[in-house]
Amino acid sequence: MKLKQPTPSDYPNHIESEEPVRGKRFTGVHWWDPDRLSHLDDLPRFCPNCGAAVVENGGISVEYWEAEQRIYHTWCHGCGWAGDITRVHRMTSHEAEH
Amino acid sequence: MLSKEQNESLTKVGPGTPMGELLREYWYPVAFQKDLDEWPIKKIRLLGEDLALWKTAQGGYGIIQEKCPHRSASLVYGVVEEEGLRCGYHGWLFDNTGTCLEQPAEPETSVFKTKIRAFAGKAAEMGGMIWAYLGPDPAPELPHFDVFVDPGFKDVSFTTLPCNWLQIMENSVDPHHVEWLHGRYFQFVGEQKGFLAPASFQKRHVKIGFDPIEWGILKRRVLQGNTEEMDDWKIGHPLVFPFSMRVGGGGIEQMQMRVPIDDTHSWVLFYTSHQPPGLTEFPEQIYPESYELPWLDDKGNHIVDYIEGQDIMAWVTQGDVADRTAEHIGKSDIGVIMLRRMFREQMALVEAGQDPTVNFVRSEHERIALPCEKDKFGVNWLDFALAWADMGSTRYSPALDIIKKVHIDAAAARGQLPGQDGQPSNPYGEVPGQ
Repeated sequence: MKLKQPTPSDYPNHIESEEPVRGKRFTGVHWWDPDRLSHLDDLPRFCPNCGAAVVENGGISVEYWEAEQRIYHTWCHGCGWAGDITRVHRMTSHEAEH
Repeated sequence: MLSKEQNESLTKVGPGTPMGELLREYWYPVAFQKDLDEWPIKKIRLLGEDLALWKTAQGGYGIIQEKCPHRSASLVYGVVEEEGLRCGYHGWLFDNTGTCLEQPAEPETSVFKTKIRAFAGKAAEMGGMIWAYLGPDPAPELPHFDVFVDPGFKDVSFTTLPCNWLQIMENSVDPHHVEWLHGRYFQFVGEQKGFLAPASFQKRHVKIGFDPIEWGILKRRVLQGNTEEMDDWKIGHPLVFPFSMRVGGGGIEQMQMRVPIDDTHSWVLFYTSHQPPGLTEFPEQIYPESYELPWLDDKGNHIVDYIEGQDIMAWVTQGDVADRTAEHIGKSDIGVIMLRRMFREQMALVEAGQDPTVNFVRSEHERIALPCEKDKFGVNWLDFALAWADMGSTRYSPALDIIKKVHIDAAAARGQLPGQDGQPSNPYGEVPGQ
């Protein structure tokens, strides 16, 4: 049985967005479209170990979130390096008890 | 989250696609043996290709492109001959390698048939099912996993789902969903409909772990109130790369299989062997009991008052191909991340002309034993088995009463029926292989 696919008019909060979001959209417009753009903006381009292009060279980078951080679990096909890469916007530390 | 291109590379399974080429290195169940015994030719769609599966005159099996190379008529409506499969339209005859043997209407001196070849894979029977391989020669061995070859009462539920196989596989490395989808949600459904959901699925996860193993990814869990000494952590159970998950407990051994029909459809099977300790013989079967699983009611709503129905709802409502550009995954999704990376690594090997390294068997063998919990969730074995029967897909089995009797008889043989003298809760004692 073919399930009905939702269209933008099914969403009460639907807002038509202008480019560039529409060009990168896979389905309808959602409030999280900026996350799709951020994912592409911050996707690791090159392996930190060997410098090979990650995606173009057959690797993979999967973004996941932990607390305030956006982390890219990345595997490089060129050298086999695998690890978590995250942008650091603010260096924070702890305050020792004193 | 993935980019659109990465999502497509992981989900497109047709010929020539990177994932399609990896998936073609494996054997897939495509039909029940009894179906080919009733009529010897069957249409199959696998990995985006339409094929004709047939039972040969010698009792073996062949699989060939559906469209005859002559003028594309369907070979599903062909004739099984001693030498192979003959097209019903003009009689072109093919053997099980796809070699064209005859073109009856062509002159006898013609060498036209030597220029014609149909695509052909390999097919073989195991566990009452017919398995097909569409990849390059030499084919790997068809893995004889324990659940298919061990003695037991075999029961197979199946259905075709309108979604990509990968989002179903990701469910298998997502242990947290058990306490929510089969725990709290099941409890909620029971509250609305007036039944008690199994409490064992409501236990919270205290610890989870994943290990890459020879066959895929081993999944372990410690549930609230349990310890690392229990089977759920000590043994665990595996996602069997690239399309299955092995589960079990309480004398039930199961392989859940998600066969990629094409990019947006999957043939889902729950192949179960009921083999509780205490019995050495099981009710006689010629074929596994097999039956279609309902997952939508007559109003078109998902049926969610049984375990597999809940899973199916979660898989199908993600869409025909889950939009991974719109997901927000976290630390608890580490298994999903691990699986995507494993797929990418194996795809890279095949792209480089090498064999996959996960669940790829070249050596002849009789049986492959997979690690799997016997003592599941730390609950009474008979209780677990009967809850499985009533609250899972087995409830639709025509053999439901037989299955329940198998477990009750086995519990009686072990002295573990209510009222019998107490026995060790784990009837295996020392778990074999541990």
